[in-house]
Amino acid sequence: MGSMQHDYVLKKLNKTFCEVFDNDDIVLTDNITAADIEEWDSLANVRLLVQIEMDFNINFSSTEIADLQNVGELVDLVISRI
Amino acid sequence: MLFNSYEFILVFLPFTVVVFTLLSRLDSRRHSLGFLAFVSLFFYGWWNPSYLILISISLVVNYALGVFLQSEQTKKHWKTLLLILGVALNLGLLSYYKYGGFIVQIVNDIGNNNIQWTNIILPLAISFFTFQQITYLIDSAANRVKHSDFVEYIVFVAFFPQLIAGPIVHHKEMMPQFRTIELNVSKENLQVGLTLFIIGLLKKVILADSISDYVAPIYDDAADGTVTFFQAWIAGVGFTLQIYFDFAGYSDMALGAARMFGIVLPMNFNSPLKASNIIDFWSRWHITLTRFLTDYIFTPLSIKATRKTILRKEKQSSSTNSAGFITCLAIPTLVTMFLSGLWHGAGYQFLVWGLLHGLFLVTNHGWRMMLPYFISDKKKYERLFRPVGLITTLVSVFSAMIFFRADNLTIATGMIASMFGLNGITIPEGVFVHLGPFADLLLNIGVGTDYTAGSQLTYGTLYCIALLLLAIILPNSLDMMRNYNPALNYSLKRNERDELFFNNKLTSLLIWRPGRVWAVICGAGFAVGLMSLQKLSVFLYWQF
Repeated sequence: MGSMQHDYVLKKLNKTFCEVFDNDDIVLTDNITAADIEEWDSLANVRLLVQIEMDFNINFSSTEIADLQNVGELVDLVISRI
Repeated sequence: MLFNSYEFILVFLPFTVVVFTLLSRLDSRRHSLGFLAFVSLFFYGWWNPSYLILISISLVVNYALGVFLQSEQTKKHWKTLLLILGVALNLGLLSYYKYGGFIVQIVNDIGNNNIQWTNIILPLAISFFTFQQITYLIDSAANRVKHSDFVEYIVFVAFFPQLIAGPIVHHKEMMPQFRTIELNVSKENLQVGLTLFIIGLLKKVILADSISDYVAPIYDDAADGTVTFFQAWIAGVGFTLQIYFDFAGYSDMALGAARMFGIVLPMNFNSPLKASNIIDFWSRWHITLTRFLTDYIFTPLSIKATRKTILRKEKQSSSTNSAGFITCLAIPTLVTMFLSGLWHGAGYQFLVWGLLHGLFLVTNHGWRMMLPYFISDKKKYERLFRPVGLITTLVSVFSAMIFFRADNLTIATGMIASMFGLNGITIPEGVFVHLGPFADLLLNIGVGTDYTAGSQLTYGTLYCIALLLLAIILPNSLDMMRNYNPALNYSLKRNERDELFFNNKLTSLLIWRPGRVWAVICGAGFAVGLMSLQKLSVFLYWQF
């Protein structure tokens, strides 16, 4: 059950990533970090997280954002909120 | 005690490594950590024992605040209050030592007053341990710090390889390493550490210190009058390279010294002059400072504005792009880089340096956003415009660095004017007479002569070109050590171009591997570095 939810969130996030970064080639996995996606700078990060907030109707705090290390942690954070 | 001094290299470092290695046989974490705490404070006190009192008070107060912030019994509003108090205390202490004189200067300049302020000596490393402890307090309040004892805390803040000029580390990336500190001793750690330390030493004493001989006189000249076009360029390019190799050298030595105790520090410097845009530059230069500023200043400012803008867009379809650009990006970026400038130094020229970089970043982001409207083939654009990006980034960094180095704004703006040809273009008489037929050609297009030293110019130019090529073409120390986990957050993918560089037999020899060949190379490098130590020169970042 847990892993199905994980896959669902990851899939939905993948769509958001492609939109925000304007790049349809992005394929997300848990281990991907900001260093792996060229467009993923601090500004894009803000836009990305706000878009995720809207898509899932949740809110992140600044410390939670600072704490994120990779996509997997982002998925877990989103799941803990929905 | 400087990293590039005999007492550090020949006495302090070997002694601490040997004792640490022997202690590890006791298999006692307490002893190993306690020893590191003790020698780190000794290292700090060597410079000026009286400031040991200052750092000790700072450590005790911040540790105590951390205990309350981490406790589940502390109510939430108390936590907020304590956090604000803690951050204010840290910034207050920093301001008193670092900005007292500058604030008085501003008040005097604005009101035409003449308030006196006796300059206090800036305690070493205060800018760094202030930020490090602020991250600790924020992390504590956010429940991201598992309880740690006071000795661990001392090592976390004051661990001597990282204390004076970073990297600024997070509690959670260091603690797991401290928890197993007694098991960290290994031959491989020692080899990797020594190699990094020697590479760093050579960068500092051979490259950074030698180019400073050509750079410093120009800034001295600039204080007395105008400098020529070519002098201004050597000042900009040369100083950038000087601080580049100085900071790269320090960062390698910090990684190396820490590694001898089995500690892997986060990556702080990753070939910034290879950046093809200024956004990329800041993800490669002083990486842990950028991380701090992004996490605690830029993101909180930007995210609030972005939420509002996106909500507004949903409600009304009319474009709010330019307003959004200013509130979500421009203001947060300028504020962040202004504060970065202020952190680097108490003086108007540092503020201008920060704001310039803020403007560069905003322009870069704006360009990125506009791009899709003009260009359809992104890959082709990147291929064609990469060289333009590289050069634009370099020129931006060079010119801004003049503000970083010049004594005041008047001198800096004068040098910038010369750099962009506003004071005409001249070459030294001594060089001119050797140009033969080209001399007439130059005269015809309006290039005159001056009486600056021709050899200074020639050698300065050659030095700049050589060091620039080194910085741009060669892989960095982390790439060379990449099979041995040289730094936290170092990712091979990030350096894709350097990946290609190693793809042939000759260049792959540059990849470090333990064994006789590299032992001989490192030994020779160490000897050269040691013999070049005669003149003691402080690391540029130690003044911050």
